[in-house]
Amino acid sequence: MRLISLCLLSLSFLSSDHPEKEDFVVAMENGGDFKVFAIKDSDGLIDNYRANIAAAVCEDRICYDVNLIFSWNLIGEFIDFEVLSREPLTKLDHVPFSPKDYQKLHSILRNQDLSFVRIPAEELVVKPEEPKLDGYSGATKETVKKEVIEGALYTCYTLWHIANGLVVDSIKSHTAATLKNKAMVTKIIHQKSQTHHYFLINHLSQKGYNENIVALLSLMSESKGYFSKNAFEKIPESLFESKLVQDYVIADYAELDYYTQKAILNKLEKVKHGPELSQFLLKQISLENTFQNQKLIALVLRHKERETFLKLVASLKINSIPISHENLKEIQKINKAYQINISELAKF
Amino acid sequence: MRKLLLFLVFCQVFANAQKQSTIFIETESFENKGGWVVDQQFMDVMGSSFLMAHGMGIPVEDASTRISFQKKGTYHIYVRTRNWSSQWSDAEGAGQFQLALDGKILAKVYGKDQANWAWTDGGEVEISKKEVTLSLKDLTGFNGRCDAIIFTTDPSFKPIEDTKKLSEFRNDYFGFDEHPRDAGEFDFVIIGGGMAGTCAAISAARNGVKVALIQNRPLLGGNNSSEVRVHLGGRINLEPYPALGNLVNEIGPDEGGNAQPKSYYEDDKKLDAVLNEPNISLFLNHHANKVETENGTIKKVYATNIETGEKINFIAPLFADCTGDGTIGRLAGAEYMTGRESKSVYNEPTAPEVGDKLTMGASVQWFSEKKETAVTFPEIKWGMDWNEAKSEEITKGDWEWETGMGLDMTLDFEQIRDYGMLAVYSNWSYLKNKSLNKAKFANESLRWVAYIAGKRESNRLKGDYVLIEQDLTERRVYPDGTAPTSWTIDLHYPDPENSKLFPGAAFKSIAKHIKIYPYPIPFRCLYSKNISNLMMAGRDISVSHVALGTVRLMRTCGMMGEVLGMAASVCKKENINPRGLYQRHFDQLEALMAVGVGNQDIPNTQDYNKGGTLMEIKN
Repeated sequence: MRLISLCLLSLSFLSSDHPEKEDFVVAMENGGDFKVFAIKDSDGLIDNYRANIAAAVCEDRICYDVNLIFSWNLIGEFIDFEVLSREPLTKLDHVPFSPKDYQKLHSILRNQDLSFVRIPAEELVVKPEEPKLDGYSGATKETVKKEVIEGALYTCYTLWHIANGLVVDSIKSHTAATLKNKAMVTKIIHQKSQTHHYFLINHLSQKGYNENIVALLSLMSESKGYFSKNAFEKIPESLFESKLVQDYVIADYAELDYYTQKAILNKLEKVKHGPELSQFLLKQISLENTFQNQKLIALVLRHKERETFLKLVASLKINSIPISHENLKEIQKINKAYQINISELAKF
Repeated sequence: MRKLLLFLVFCQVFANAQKQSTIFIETESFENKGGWVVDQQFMDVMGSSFLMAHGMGIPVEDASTRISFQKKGTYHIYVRTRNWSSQWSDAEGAGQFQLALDGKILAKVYGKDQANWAWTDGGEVEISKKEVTLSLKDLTGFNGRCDAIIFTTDPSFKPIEDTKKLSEFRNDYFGFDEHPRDAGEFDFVIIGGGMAGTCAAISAARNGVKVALIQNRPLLGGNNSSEVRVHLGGRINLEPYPALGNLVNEIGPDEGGNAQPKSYYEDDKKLDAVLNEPNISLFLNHHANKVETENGTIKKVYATNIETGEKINFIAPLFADCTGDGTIGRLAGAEYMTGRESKSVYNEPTAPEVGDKLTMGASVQWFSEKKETAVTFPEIKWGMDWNEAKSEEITKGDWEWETGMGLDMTLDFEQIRDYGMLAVYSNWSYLKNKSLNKAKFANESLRWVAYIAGKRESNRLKGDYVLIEQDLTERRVYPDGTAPTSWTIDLHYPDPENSKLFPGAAFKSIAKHIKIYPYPIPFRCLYSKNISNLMMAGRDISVSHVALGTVRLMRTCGMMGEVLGMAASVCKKENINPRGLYQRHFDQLEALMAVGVGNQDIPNTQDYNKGGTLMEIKN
């Protein structure tokens, strides 16, 4: 049933729905190419990519053509394939793929953690010392065997490289070019996959960050893992000078994980920050925060006003917070203007 | 006082024996080892490394050495050996051998008497020449073993059975304890040359630290060496320090697979990487077995050459225990943990209600190869009872050929390893001789069986923090995060099916997995709580039994090593211990971890055996 319906879908994809020119063409590693079409949603935004794949596959000296439709998501991750019912895939000795084989092929094509795809094609089998008369060309390596469909080693290998080869970068480039469109950025932000979000922060232009900063900050607050750390590292420094971002830091800093906090402090070292943020950073200096204290002290010291300086020194004294050699030198330098007693400050 | 008296008595006995002419020969020092292998795995328990005939059913080539007698005459022979299979079978011993003098085989057959290491009386022999070639002649190919041989003309001579006293005698006889050689002064001494220790050494050396690396085998790589053949596992180049793992990639084998041919494990790649570092002094074949401490600080570590018995000592301000067993930590008096903690200790969901000594086991992997013609294998009498139901019709034993859970991974390890081999031989003998499907195996030849067993767990040294299950599952990330652990919490248990067939003596295991997000291991897990200058990397770090399930993977251990090397450089620069680094200079370690220490310009070949994860991949 699946094959028949797929056949109809495939024919419609190949003919009536897409009479227009393809969006780009991708070369295959072993020669030939295929046309990739960007499929759009009802708002006219790209939704996924599709291509008709026609390639020759050889299993133990017997070659045949495969004809499939592949689809990828916005960031080049392989999603699915469709088979024409008149051209089912076959294994060695023309044994057709079983439903289980198709399922396994699907999981293979979506898997980035396979060993066999990294091995050159000519090394997939252990070659016998001398060629045998019966045409036996070697045994599949043990490690490879576990990962592939028995009797369809080269089909798996060839199709994986098509699905996960040059096409991936082409799709990424194509989608990246659409990020000028704010609606497209919003669409990607709303995707539930963090890989899409990483794609976004890796491909947004400075202008793109400026236009979408509110949505991006909101995304960071909700994100898991190291996304917010990476996103803060990507945000242009100029944006860190904005009140919007500095207010966000004041409001959300305490909720962020250590590595994101560190990324923020690293960025703040390179930009100017206002007195409100300075006061906020001063409050973060504590005995429990030994790893960040020196960075925080250095940032606060950049505001050399008497009031801030006195508050800082008082806080360091009361809490007996040790001070690094570099920060102590800076305190002594600033104190030349104020001449307060700093002899009780604790040193490393 | 009593010890001193005993010592004087022994001195007298052996002084007399010397007059009467007594010769003590360590087999591991034989000039020509033939097909026999040096086994040092149990020397802390039975007193010495020894020679073993690991022929997998085919008698190995003779080992031989020249010995000099002061005088001709009648000598009594004693041979320190054991019948290793007798703990499981009353049949004649598996590993039998004889001695030969100048090619003349002596009548006594060894390896079929007592179960434990002891001196077997070899009777008398007439020595008519002062220079003689002594040979060990293997009879069975099934792991006959010989520690030492004594020739004496003294009729009152009785060889020492007590292991400790025997060690004292050996040291006295060869003069090893009198003048242990000073290996030199180092900034950092690393004990253990597995992935953790090797990476620690290279990382430290590249950061300007003068390193001694001590390894008790002739190869580096530990469980990933061609002696054990476990492939690397886990992921590298992860947040929060993506540069960690570049060194693992640089020295790690390009190809994965357990129990594969030797070339898969690229021993030379690891060795060359170490030899290329001018800051590393490498001490292969040295087993560290003595530590001197002062006020909770290690001052000296002593190591014994596993072939010559010579002792050397190492002085440094900083040491790393990468032994896997926590050997150095234990000798230094470090707090440590063994077995499974009960739920009440850390409130871990996976921990048992009642704690116990159960550890994960050690693997004895193996494989066969197909030959052009039929190959025989002995029908062994000393094997385990076998039948069709027990028969495993396979040609490769992977990680799950795992034994020793519930036994002591240091004290009982010879028994654990031997039981693993016994299971392999029992199954193979049945397949080749009795199985209903024996025709299928007619051309199969047992190509490789590990005699260095691959340990997963033994002792864990306690640090300032003990990593637990909830840290991993709830992602409680601490600011002192370092190397990321990414493998599942992968805990092994005796295989229930195998346990039914072999009650209380399973030799196969199952794994239970809990996926996690990659998690940076706190630096406080990488140094000892109470030994101020001891760090650790590998499976003996400060984690609960449950958390060990994930951190024990070798790519992760390698990255811990990278961190240790960097930490050593900060300790050297600031003249502090690891806790001081954590308290005051962690930012320097962060900066080094951000840069990494491995070559980042080479392709990433570590694509195999990365393991399941909850992480989404960056795009």
